[in-house]
Amino acid sequence: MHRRKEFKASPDSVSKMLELEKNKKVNFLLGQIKGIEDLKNDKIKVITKNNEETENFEVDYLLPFFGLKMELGPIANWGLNLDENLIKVDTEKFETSVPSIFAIGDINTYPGKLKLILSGFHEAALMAQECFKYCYPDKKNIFRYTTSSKELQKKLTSI
Amino acid sequence: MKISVTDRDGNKQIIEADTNSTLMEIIRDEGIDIEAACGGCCACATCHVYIDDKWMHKLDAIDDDEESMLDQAFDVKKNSRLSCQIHLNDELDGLELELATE
Repeated sequence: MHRRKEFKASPDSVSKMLELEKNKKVNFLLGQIKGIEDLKNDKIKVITKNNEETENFEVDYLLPFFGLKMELGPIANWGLNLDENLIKVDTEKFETSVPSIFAIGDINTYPGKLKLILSGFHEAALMAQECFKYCYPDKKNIFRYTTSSKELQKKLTSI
Repeated sequence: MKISVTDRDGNKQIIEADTNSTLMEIIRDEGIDIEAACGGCCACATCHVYIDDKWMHKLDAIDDDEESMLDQAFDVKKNSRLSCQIHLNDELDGLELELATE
């Protein structure tokens, strides 16, 4: 079920889906889910709506794909210093208030935080420096550039 | 300029707006509870609002990115928009909208 005929998925996936529909292997419904009810017989009742028409279906499984909302879930109970829904980190190591737990990307916060992909990479690079110490306490961390390090270039081309 | 925002409890607030910010930023900066998780880059659907019908035709048309992103929202209606994609102009002085259900 999808709220409109157009999809944002890759064109190949969409045409595969439409092909399956043509062969009656997929039953595509236009509309939105308005509600669900847990039925006692191990089934789920799904209430759908398309424009003003409401319909009910009984299904075995429901896989809803909705929303992009940051939620800490169980991490909220890890005892980390939080600022509302975000995890406070320092800007040297991006470590949380609990040593060896790090937070990078949109989920963290610090003075001057910008939600940029660029900033996320920066945070990852600095965090990795500190993680190295936890992972290899006896090893020396040697800093190298991909532009000049043969060893790094070899690693990158072998992927 | 001013806009009217009705929250999910039905409380209507008239707030000051300007043409330098997006609608989402104006609502968020007023302290009204709007998630806007992605910060305004049209990468989530948590700044979903319903625009009052009489204002719909005054807005710039919805583009593909915004339309696709609305697929992620609940209870999408004909007057659904993502407020981070709406730039205000003087024509929109008095705009009325309602926050969509979370």
